[in-house]
Amino acid sequence: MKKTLLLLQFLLLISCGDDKLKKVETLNSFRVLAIESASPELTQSAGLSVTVRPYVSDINGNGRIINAVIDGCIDPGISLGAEVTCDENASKVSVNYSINTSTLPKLNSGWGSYSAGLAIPDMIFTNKSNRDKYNGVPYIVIFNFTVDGVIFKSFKRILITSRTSLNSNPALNGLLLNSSTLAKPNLNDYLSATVSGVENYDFVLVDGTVENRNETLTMAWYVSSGELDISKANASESVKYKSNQSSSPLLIVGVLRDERGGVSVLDNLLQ
Amino acid sequence: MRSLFFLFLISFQLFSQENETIVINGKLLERGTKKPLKDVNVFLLPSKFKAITLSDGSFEFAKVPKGECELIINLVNYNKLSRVNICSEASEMLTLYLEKTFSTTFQTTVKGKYKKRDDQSQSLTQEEFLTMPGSFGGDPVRAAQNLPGVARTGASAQIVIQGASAQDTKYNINGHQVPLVFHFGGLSSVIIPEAVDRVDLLPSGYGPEYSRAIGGVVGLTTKEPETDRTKAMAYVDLFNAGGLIEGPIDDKSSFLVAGRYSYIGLVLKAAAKKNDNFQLTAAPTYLDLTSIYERKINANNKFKTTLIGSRDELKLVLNKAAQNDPALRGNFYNRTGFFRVIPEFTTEFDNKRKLENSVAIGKDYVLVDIAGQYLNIDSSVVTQRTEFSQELSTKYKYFIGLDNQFSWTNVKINLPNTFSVGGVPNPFSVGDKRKFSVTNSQSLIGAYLRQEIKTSETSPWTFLPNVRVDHFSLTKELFLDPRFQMRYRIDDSLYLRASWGTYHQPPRPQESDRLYGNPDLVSPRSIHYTAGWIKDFRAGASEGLEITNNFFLKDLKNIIVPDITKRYSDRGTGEIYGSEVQVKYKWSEWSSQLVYTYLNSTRTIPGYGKRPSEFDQTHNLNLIASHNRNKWTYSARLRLVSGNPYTPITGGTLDSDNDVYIPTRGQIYSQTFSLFNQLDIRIDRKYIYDTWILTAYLDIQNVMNAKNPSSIQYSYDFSQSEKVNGLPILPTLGIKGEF
Repeated sequence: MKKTLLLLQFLLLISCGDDKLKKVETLNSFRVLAIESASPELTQSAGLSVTVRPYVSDINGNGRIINAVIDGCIDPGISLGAEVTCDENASKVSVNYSINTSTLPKLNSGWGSYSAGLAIPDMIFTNKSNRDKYNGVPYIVIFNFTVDGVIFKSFKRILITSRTSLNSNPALNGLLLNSSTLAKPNLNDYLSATVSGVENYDFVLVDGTVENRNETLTMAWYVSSGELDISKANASESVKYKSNQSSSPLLIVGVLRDERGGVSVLDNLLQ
Repeated sequence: MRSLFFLFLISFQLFSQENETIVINGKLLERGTKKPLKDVNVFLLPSKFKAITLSDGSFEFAKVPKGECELIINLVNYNKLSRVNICSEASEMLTLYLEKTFSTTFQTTVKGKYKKRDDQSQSLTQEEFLTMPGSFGGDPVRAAQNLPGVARTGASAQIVIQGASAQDTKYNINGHQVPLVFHFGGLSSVIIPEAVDRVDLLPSGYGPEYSRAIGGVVGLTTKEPETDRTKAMAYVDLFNAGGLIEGPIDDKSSFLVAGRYSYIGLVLKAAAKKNDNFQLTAAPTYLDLTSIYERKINANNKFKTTLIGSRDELKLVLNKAAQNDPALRGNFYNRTGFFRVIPEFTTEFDNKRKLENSVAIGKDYVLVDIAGQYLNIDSSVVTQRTEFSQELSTKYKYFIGLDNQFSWTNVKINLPNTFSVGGVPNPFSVGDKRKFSVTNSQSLIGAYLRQEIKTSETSPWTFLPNVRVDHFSLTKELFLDPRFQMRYRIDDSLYLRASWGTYHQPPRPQESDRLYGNPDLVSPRSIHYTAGWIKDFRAGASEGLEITNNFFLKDLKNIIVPDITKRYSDRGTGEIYGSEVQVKYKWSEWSSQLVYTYLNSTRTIPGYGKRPSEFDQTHNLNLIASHNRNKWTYSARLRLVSGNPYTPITGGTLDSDNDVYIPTRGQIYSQTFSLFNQLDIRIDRKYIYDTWILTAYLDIQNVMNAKNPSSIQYSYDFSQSEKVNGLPILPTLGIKGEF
């Protein structure tokens, strides 16, 4: 019943509109849009380490060096409500990281370099159930970027599993405008993407039964100006651009996710 | 001689006319309702004849001299009735309609004054809740929100009592627990108001008859159908329409059937057409049905069966992810409902011994489906109550009873268990994903003993050493809950009272479920302490002043709280204390009421410390006034309530895998919304015709259109926020016809 009430509250909220609040799809300040690991899942073994890289956008930052501290640790239980932090976590490791946005050619947006390797502790499977081991025990990597004195925190899970068939990142092959080559959109034009890499996998439910699933790919769309009717869509869905374009360059970024930690990003700067 | 004969003939005719009599038969009915009025004196002037009406309202004057006369009826609370020119000719049966000087919105027969059993309980009768402002058309449970200790919950479909949590209140109909009391949005309760006899609120310190609610109990009692005539009612307003018909079947049996259907969805659907964010594919609807059959088997035995059914449905497509959580997008479907069949059998052996048996059989169902993530609960429920009471002497009376519940539930679930603390939930897609199907059963067995003891017939003291035993099968716990009440009568107008008791309630199913929650939880417990006094200055009159004052303290243990390792733990505690004052004043055509509650409600959650609770409303003031004049009733309610506490969100962390931000909470419930203020008014106008009544009413909530911030809306990353106001001015216009 409480969940029903929460959902009804959501309905009330979305029906009220959020015109005064910033739009999720609009890129106009420093943001991390995605964090990628070359391998979203790793088979458990001794001496594992992981490297990750963030996709950032800093359109109005005028190109600058932004520093971060990356923390890595065994997931403290974020899905159960634990705070996103590695502090007081025995498995914590930290490395420094920086990104020079002036080297990012598309309105100071793009991938940062891969981080130094973060060692995953061998004891990650200690006290874990067979179900947890099969589905994957999350190791989290937290980026703490400091921009103008403000900390921007983002994180990614890398699943350490007993499985040998591992998830890989999906492929975002292209961005399209009205089902054709991408160009600057105008009012009521549609953006879509060509994707591939849907995987099939087994998942152990809480009652022990094994369910065979197909990944569902979702797209998050971002634009440097203008508005979209929806910013998060299924990969096969097109989204409507809701503005008349000005003459300024337009950055369009698409982020494809496979709901298991796999991610792929494609961006286009349109003059 | 011939002239003498004619003189005689004329004299004879004149004499005959003077002495010729007629019979006048009539029937006296209440105007509008056609209710027969019995034992009413009917006078005929100038002959000063008097007749008394029988039970069907009929009367007769057997030998009325033909000629001029005037029939007069003068009855208290009714307008004087006068008829002339009814004695010149013998006529057919007269039907006379006597009009009440004041009448409630729905004309119901009062079967007798309800005798309050529990000192702690507060009740509203149909006459009171039907005309209460801010009750959204006379809804009984909405009206109960004006009672002392009841929190303001806004659009929530729940009743929160004396600083407790929403889940700490249980609802029952005719003594049997039901899963919900409101349709969605809390606009109206699940029974049409005209089928409800009274609503009872059992706050802290309540007796042993009920349990499994550490906050309190809200009970609705359906009315007894009319036995003297068939009557019907139908109404229509901006949100819903409904009707009721009741009456006798034969000398011993009577029935009532009522139903209601809401078309509020059509309004929402029209509004949604302008909204790109979601599409309503099916207008949200709710409906409810009530039917009652009652049979007086003989002087000692009575049988009553009540059928209650309620259903809410909503279907829509969320085009845009709610709160930018991709998991909350796509098709949304919600269906909630229940029904109960409640046969009751009552035997009064004599005026000192009574046995009441009742069973409720029914089903509860909930289906929530959000783009393939679902919760589907289908539960069969049987509840049973038995009570035997006996007055052994003027000094000792006892009530002994059983209060049992059995349920068999199928649960299909594919939902994350989403962490929420301080009223701030984590995004849906971050939650611990759970998918399973389970069938389980549970029993809640309860037995109680209530005793009323006086040390002597003249003693001002009454002691009620009560006890209740409960067994909860899911947690495998057995409780012995003492509940002690006492009363001291200083004089007929002034009483002191106090109570102390222990209360347990089982964890909610999702909290103690093996696959979704923590099966090792123990049941929350609360110890209630109350003390208070009642002063009635009316000295037996119906007008005057009444004051009730009550102090309460609740000590909460084993409160279920979120836990980051076990999903739920029972390590929460809480403390609630406060005081309530209710001042009622009735004078002539005016009645007024002041209800004020002061309270302090805190919870201690491991890891978060001692914090205000969600409904820690320090000050809660309701001022209610009404004025009845002729066929007009004007009423108003002013509410001034401390703003609810809320937890500020200080930032967000991007969960890159789920593409959503997880909120960073500040101090739990460390900030409060501004003072809530709302003025509601209601105007009723009655048009009374001989055989029916038309009532038009206008109920305007929030007349001053006060903003009253009630929640906070955040940007996707929680870096920006704006307050969301409560309901704006909301008028409800309706008409009601009674036949």
